[in-house]
Amino acid sequence: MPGNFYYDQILNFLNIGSSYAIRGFMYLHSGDGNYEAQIINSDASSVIFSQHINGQHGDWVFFSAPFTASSIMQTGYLRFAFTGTQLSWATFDQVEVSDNKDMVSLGAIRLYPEWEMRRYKKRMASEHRCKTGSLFAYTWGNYERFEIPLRHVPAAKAAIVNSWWQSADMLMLKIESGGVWEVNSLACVNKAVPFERLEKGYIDQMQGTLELETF
Amino acid sequence: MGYEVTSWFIDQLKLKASRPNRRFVIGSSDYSSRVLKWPTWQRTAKDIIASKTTVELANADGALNGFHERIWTMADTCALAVGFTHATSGAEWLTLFSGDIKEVKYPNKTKCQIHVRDRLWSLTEKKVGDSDVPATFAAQIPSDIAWTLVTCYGGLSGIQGSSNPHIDWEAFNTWAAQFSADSVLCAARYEGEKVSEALVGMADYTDSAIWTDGDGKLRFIRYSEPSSLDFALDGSEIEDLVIKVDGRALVNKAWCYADYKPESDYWAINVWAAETTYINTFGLHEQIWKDDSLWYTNSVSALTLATRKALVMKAPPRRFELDTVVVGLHRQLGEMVRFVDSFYHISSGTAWRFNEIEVDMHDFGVRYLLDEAIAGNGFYLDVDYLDGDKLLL
Repeated sequence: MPGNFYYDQILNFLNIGSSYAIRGFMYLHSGDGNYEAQIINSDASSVIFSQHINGQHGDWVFFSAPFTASSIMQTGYLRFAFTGTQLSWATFDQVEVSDNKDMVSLGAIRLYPEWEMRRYKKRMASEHRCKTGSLFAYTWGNYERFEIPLRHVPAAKAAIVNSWWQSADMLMLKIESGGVWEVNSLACVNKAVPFERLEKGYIDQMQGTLELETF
Repeated sequence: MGYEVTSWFIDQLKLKASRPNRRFVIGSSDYSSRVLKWPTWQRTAKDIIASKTTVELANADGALNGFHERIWTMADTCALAVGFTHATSGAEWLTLFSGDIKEVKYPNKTKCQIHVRDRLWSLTEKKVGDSDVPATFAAQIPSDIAWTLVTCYGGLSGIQGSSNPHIDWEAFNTWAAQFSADSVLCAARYEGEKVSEALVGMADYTDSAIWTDGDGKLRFIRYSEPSSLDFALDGSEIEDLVIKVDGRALVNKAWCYADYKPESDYWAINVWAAETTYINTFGLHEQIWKDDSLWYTNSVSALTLATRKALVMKAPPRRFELDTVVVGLHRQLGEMVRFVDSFYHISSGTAWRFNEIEVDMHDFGVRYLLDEAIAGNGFYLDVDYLDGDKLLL
């Protein structure tokens, strides 16, 4: 099938019965966004495992395809297959097959933002207004910014987020709403720690605003 | 003249909304993604001076610490370029600045500043002759002396062709052809001057400009007649305009001493040219061209210089500082600009030569310095055997 690509080493590190996930990021430049993450047998005659990946135009999308290893997979290969019907152009990055840990063990916490949460794109541009009023605008790129106000956050969770800020960790923000989800790769850009104020009336709850930007 | 770019690239420069790219390369490695602030740099034909710039790079991960840990890695070249990405043919780049790393500074743990100077700087680090054994040049056309200075003494490539990596051979050849056609002859004697100092005298005596261009090649030109390839700007492309009339540059009687005898410190020839109409208007403003390291060997060549200087500097020249956008970024120093400003009654009927350019790669703005002294009075041929000593305006 044209457009497929492979990892050319067999998956012999898989332990039978253990849980793993094919993870990574996908960016859909143009066209049809239907792909599959697959494990195929050694002569590519059959697909042992597959999960659909749906690309989104102009955005990086995180995908995770969990599976339980079987013996035949130990001699199989990882493949990404285009399953759409039209032309397509996509980029995959940071692809890995690794232990399928739950989000908490990966260092994830769940937060409930206030309605004032803002999400927008910022443009990096130079603008020149000339004598007769004409405008020349040169756009160098853009990036996404999240401003997430948070109230009544348990002090333990707030401390974790503050520690991420202190160690300048790169973060992944998974937004879930009504069964629809997406993941963004972000950096915490708060000038000071995100949670620095106690919630009024509570000594074990914090409030603050998380400022995140894509990198 | 003009940099070699496609017509599509020029169209992109003229767009009111575009998505240009910028590139910073050290050696063959692309460090564009680390640039914190894109630099501003100047290039001038007014003086022989190396262009310089400083690029600030992100170094929070310490990836650029190698410049002080392994200092020999500092001896590398850099290039700054702008480009556009074509939908089918890919990226097209225009290299605007090339130079060598001269200083690396770590102002704090997150930044690394790379200070770059162009190729002219290397000519300030090499001398020509010394007082015990002077470097002497018998009567020859000045371009031959210049070639020996920059190749034999300056260490630049002596390849006589377009493959010369250090000198723009085509431009040099055109420059040399003018002296050759007019049989302008000079002699020289250097007693330890830096190559750059020798070139300053050369540029002054031959009324030429010498600079390093964006591709890193040394370029020689003698201002000649306005080119038909000039470009025009109007109010829709001009952000700001400053006009200066500079009375300090006034010379209406020019003296030129020639045929120097170093053994007796004697000048055998002394000629002058004057513009009497302008002396009556502005008073007498004299200037002497008398250089004991480079001199003309005959009175015809000396009078040519005196006449040329008095003619182009006879009145206070107007100078224009023009802030504009990048529509002419593909143009090279020494090219002509026509512009329109109704308030100052400036029409596109006159072309002005830009002898200095400042490019702000962060905001993508350009400032031209236009000088009437090298454009407004037109052009005349130097003495030609066929023409006698007539001025051909």
